Amino acid sequence: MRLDKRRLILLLFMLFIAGISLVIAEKQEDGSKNLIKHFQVTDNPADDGTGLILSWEPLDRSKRIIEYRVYRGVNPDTLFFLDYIQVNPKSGVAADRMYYYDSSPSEISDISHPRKLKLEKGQPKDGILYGKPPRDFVFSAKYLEHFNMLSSAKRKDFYFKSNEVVADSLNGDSYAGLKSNQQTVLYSLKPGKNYYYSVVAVDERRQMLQHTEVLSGVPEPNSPEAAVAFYSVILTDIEELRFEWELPMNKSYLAQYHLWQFPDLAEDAWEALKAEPEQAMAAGKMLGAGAVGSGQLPNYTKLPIPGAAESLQNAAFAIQLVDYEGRTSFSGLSRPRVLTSAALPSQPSHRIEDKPNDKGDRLSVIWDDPIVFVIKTTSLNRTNTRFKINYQVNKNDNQTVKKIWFEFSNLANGKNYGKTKEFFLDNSITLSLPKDFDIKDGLKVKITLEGEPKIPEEYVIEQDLVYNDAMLALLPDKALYRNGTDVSGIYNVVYRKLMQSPLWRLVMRNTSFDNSLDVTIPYPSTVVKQVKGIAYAEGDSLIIVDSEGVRSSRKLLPGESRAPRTLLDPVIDFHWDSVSETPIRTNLYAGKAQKMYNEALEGLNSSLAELQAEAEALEPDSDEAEALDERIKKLEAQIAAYNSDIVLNSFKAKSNRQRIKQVLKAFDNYSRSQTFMVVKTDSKGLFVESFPPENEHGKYEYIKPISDWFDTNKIVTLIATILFCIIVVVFVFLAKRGKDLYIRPIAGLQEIDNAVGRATEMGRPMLYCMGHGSLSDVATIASMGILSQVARKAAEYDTKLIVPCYDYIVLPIAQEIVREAHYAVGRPDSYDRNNVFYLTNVQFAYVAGVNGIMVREKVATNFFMGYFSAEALLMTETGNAVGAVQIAGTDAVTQIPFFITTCQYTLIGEELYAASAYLNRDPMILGNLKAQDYFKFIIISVVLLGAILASFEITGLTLLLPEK
Amino acid sequence: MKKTIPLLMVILGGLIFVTWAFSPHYYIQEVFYNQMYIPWIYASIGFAALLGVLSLTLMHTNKIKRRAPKWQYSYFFFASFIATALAGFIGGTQKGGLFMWMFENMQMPMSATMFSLLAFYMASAAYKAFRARSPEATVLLAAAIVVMLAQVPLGVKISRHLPTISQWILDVPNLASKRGIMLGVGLGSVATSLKILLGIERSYLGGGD
Repeated sequence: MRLDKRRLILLLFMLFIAGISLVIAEKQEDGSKNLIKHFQVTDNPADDGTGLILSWEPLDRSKRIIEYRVYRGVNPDTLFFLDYIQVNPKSGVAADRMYYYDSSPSEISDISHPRKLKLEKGQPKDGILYGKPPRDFVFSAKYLEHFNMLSSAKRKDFYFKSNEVVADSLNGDSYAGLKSNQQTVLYSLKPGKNYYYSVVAVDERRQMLQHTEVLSGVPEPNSPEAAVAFYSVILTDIEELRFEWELPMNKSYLAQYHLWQFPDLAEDAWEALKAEPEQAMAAGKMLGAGAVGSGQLPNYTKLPIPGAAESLQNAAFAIQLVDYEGRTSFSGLSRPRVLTSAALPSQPSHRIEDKPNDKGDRLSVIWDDPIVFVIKTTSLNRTNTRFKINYQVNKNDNQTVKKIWFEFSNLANGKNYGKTKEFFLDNSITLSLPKDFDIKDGLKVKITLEGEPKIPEEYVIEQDLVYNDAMLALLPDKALYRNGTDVSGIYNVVYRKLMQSPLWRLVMRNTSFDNSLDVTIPYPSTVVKQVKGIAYAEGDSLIIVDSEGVRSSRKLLPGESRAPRTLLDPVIDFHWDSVSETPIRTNLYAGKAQKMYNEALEGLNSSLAELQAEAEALEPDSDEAEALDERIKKLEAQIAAYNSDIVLNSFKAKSNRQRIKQVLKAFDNYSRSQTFMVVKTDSKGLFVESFPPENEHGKYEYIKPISDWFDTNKIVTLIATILFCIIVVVFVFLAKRGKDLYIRPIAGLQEIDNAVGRATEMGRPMLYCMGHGSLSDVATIASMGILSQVARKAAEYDTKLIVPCYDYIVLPIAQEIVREAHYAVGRPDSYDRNNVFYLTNVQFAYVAGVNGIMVREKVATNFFMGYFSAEALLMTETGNAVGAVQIAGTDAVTQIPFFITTCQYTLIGEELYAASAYLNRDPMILGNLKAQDYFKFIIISVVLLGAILASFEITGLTLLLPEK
Repeated sequence: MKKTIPLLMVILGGLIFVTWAFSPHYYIQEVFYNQMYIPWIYASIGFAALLGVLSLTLMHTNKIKRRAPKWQYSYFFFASFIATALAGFIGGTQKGGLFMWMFENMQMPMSATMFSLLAFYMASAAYKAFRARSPEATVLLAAAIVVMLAQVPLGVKISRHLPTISQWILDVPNLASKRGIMLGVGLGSVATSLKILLGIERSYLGGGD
């Protein structure tokens, strides 16, 4: 059949119809395929009733989903955006179900939120999905009964910008009121309340697919999870019971632990018994209890053996975790290990030091000498007799390792291969072994060190390097021997204690490969407080909604702000009296602060009077009298704390602002002081605590990080800078006195005149590119000096100079330079501001623009002076194509080769900086250039000297110079 | 006075930043730099950008007014500028909006096109560089051949020592010269900074000297 014109048209028409049908079919695809299936909302088990779990089946990979968005509300027709889970549209989700845990606070009001209620894009007018909740406290107040709210405000906003809001003018209760732009308000679920959820998938085209049905859930408080692991040890010689445990994932709800002793039961019997906690408690004997503190407190304890040690022969132990509401759960039964104290890890000792050269937010806890260990070996030849061995040095900034000795021996037969000394620590050594070495024998490496503070000579670290069949290499074994003992299973757990708290809190669990920990103690920058209520004006009334959603009102006071505010507790920490261990708190507002102080002092005085009266009625030397006397002394100390200068002076401040400044100063003074303890443990009940440092009164010594004024690592840099300044001043002085300073000719700069002349002769313009550096780049500033000279020549010869700028901050300066040049040569008339213009700050768009100018304007000369990247070659090749003479200069090492190959003249690196001196011949700049050359000579001399000294193992000079 | 005050401001600012470089103190690093300087930078960027936009608008307006060569292109500038600005202001700059769609489907492909041209320009630049016109160029040619061959499997087939030689060329002569340049650049930067601090270099003030 012949394909004539009519048939061709018919075929094309049919193809067109088929295409259209396909597109329509695609669009009319069954909507149900886009619907997320099996969406569920369930209670979060083992929590305190503040969490729900959302789960659903993810959509097929072909839907190209990029995220699932979660919406939440307190009624089914208004759901707000809560969070999103990102998905890779190419790979999709591999799991059958996706989960979202709604258990942490999210933002209800933030500066980034819209001012008004806003439907999500693409939602119909009667849609139920809204964006983020609006930044409107009148709106937020409606949600107070459904959610717990927290306010997070900048420190200065809370302390200095909050306003006192008197909630009840009768009893004078007041709060700190913060406006919506001064804080972020977070909201989280309340137990027993009903919440509605829906999930929406968003595809690659950012289109929201059909949302799931709206489901509701009620978070209920549950019993906590049981301890994941629980270990018990009986130390017979010192008659101690030791316990250690591992807490479950959900530990923020845990308040306490109880330790129980039970008869040794079979697993089934124990499982049945612990399912009935009351029966279990009746069957067991409680040995002790302590605080868990949401998992932050120590997870171990020791107790004296109750009664005779024999009574524990058939005993088993369990730990009962208790949450803040009193719900409990029992762990599995632990049969104790019976050991002696010889099995305990060695007694740890530690010291606390300020981290040097920081802004005062870190302390170092050091519990061991530096630790060096092999991390990797690489065979360097086919016979496996030469190895590159990589090692790692773990040490603190206050420790120095000067030399390391590696002594290798055959792991199989013990044959010694001698010592390798590492005097320059580059984290690798090369090891040559005899030809008869068989890699499968493995190696033993013994490491000894020399350093500061002095490392004991007997300090030895050993490791076995074992042949690994899969990797075909020698790999370090898991064991790490420190002075002959394998410490790889021992952990060093660091705890901290704040001055104002009696409890030790976990900082970090470290392995035995670590010898120290830098603990960050940040400067306080935000204040987080519970929202007690929201206040807003309505007519002439102030409406106050409390945290349970109960509404009350009162008349607005004259001059009182109408702005809606959150109501926060105005009571703040002030001072910690270390003698009486008394915290003193105050109020943000002076009147209330005075009242609070008076009440506290009156309370203490009346208690003291009562106790003194009681004491008079008792026998003078009785036990009761002594106990009472202790209490009286404590009360007296507390009263003295309240009458201390620091407290009394705060009330003498000129203004409340000054008073708060004093309060903050006193608070900062103690709140960042901490002490630390290191616990060595095998995680299974064998642990030993270090002794925290104590002062002369036998109390813990607290350390506060120090903010350093000078970074001692930069001392050499500072000396070098000062030396350089001196040389510059000397040469500038010499140049000013007329000394002839020789500068070698730079071809690129000598050719500027010719290049300008060529453009003049040809009657074509010149182009000057300053690269894509900003004004903070030295290359850009150097380029400005050259632009000034080129612009003068161009103005003299009346040649058009085009300067397209990449940076808008550079633009006005470039315009000014060119304008000044025209004025300087007496040609202000020829200056056209439009020839110096901003092009774009997008790299390749800039290239396109510049190339376009070159081609359209047929430029005769191109100058590329400044900092360039990938655009360099694109521009210079185009310049070549239009036949322009090109002079380039850059300090970008990667672009220099491209400029050399494509431009007639290139200023390499520092020649660019020297250009203004070369062109100007100003003695000041010439002197600077000369100083630069001499300083370079000094640097090269130091490099050579360092290399020679290092070759003779004298590394002092090398180590003296900063690494970065 | 026109130059003295800006010069004093630069010297003072320079000295503050010298202090910033050597002092890790909280007042310098946090109070001055993070809490004062950085927010000021963000605040001033918007005004500086306005300068750029004004400059570009003036230049294209003049081009159209003067009927300068290819003045018609200036309309494209205004059209795209207005369209992009409106898309950003009305629809937002987040993914899924018109602004981001234009960025992803117009600017990105155009930038990629420009970037891809680099491959061809590199080939032509390499041709120019590797022509053995002088002994130096011949050395360059030989080194380039060794390094390039070592990157492909054929190089190892020719000699198993080729990758080692290539690595040596990169690590020793190449790195030495790079470091030489970088040393000069580093020193030059310090010298230029010092010139600015001492008021010797004044080109950034717009007047050349």
